[in-house]
Amino acid sequence: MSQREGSLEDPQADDSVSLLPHLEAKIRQTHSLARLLTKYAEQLLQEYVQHQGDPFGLPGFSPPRLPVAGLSAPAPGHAGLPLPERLRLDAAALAALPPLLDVVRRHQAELNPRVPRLLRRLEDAARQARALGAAVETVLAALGAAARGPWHEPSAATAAAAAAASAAGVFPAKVLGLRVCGLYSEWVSRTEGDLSQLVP
Amino acid sequence: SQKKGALRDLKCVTNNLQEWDCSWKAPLGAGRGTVYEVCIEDRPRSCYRLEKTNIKIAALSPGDHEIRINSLHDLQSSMSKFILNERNVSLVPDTPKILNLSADFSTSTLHLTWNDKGSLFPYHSNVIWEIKILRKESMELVKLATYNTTLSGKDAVRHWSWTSDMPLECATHHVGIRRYIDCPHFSGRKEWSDWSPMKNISWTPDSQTKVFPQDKVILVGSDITFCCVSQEKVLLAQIGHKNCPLIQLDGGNVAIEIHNISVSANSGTNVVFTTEDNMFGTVVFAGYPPDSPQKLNCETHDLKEIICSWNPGRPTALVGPRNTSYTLFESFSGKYVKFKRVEALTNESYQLLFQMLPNQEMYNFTLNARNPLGRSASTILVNITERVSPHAPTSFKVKDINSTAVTLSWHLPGNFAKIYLLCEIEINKANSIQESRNVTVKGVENSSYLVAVDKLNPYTVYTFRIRCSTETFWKWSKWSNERKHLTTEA
Repeated sequence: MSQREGSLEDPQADDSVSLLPHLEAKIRQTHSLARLLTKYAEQLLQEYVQHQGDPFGLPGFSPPRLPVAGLSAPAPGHAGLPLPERLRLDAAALAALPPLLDVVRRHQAELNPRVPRLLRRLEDAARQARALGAAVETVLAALGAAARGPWHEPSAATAAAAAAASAAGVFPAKVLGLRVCGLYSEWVSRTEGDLSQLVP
Repeated sequence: SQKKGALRDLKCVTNNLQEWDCSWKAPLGAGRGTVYEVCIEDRPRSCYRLEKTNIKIAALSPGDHEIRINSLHDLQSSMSKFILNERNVSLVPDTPKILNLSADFSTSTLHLTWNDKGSLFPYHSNVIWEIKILRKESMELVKLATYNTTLSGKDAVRHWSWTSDMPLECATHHVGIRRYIDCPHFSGRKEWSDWSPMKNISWTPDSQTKVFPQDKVILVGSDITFCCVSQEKVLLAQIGHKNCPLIQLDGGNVAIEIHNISVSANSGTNVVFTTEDNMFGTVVFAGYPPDSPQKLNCETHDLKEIICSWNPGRPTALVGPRNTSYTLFESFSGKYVKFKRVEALTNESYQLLFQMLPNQEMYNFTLNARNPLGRSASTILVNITERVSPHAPTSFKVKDINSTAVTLSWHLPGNFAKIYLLCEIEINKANSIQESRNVTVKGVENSSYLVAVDKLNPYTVYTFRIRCSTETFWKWSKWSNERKHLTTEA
């Protein structure tokens, strides 16, 4: 079918885009997934904090939001961007997260080997971020708004940089893990918000 | 009392007992150009003319020696007599010199080397070295140690190490050394040498703020000092949830002292230094050395593989890469096996499999336990043929021989060819008391066994089951499955 299934690219296009049923279903499904993962991400963040020891989780403990290689927090102006651009940023972030979550899981496997639930949640989060990112890419493609250029392959450099930060000592690695879990939570909930505007 | 123009305070010092360096105070009014003539009375041809107020002479033999010193100035002469005895001489050793001062920052250890210059000293003597360690630019004395050696007539390079309570990265450390020679052959006064020139060691901080020590493993109850090497002003320091008083070091560096540290959670105890807009930290793992493995037991199910199991004893609070590693070593064969950890299991089972060796029945096992805080071991010597706990018999079958006798057959995995098995047959008959019969069978390898059971009642329902052990009893196997059997009619 050559005609793109409802295009979001035309800036003058009316916001209420009439979408084909199966695309609408795909968007609903992706949105539901994002909403579910938002809850899981919050649980992951709480569980992570719980197993790093005081002062993690104590009021007043707020380590600086250090930059994480290959991934930044949603920009303050994210909400003001056009929807396709937002979804493309969401997809890119979700693509960058799995290798970072893997680095955190490997570190926690050494630090908290007797907390299998945390390790499992970190493993699930990497898989789920990958799945949600792919689903968002699919929606974008169906809407003719896919990212120009190759699919966001998570760069090995991202993981390498994170691993290096991890190797700088246990405390920096704990803080990195906190940061990555926080970013995961932020981007999943951001994606859910952005998708909610597509759900008719 | 001395006459006018008389010399005063003749003092002699030696640093090697072979030469005395004697000096005196010039007579009152003696100006430039005064010439002194020094004569040692009972030493032939021992007069010296000099224009300074000290002279080096070969050491005098024990006993009193008369020294005459004539001072000649502007045609005036004045003569002073002294009685010189070894007892009035001071042994002041040469000032030592540090050859090298190095630091192992990872272990906070300073390593000092110096040459004891033993070749310069005629006798074997005990030497007391005093080593002082000062910290910070304010040169606070943090350690004064003594170290005893013996001069052997030859030069020897001496080594001394010191582990600092504070990480060496935290502040500059200065080291000096002096010595005291306790020479039994010398009756004079013995004094300390001067301090050596100080050597210092410091860590060259890069731009990043750092916290030390990094990720250290220590014994519960220890005292430890943490520091933050920082250009930014540190406002707060915490260990876990507790705030700690800051100790100011040089520059922006600060330290905190922790006493009697409590046991850490698995992920360690966090130590955090907070500046205006940043936070730096480290983690310390306070735990215990491994207990001696308890209830070490080694047995076999099949005389092929030995299973050693144990109880680790007190938890060490250390997990992951800091966890206790176990190695089972068998001394007769020299073989060993390492324990592979499965920490995810809540109740981790501690056992190791050791392949039996051909023609070896006696096994002398040592189970070594080790973690970053220490090591321990337990041993056990076993004759493995006396430690057989067979698997439960399988493929248990009953077949008729006649109306009052049946054969029982079963399979027992294992290499029992060299031993005899003792098996117990349990025979149950409805509404009757349970009967138990023991049989001894020659062991075989991985095979089935067959025994006959007689004196049964015809046309009667029996329930049979069997379990085995070895003739030198160790443990019964579990029971086989039960088999119901109706004997044939008479």
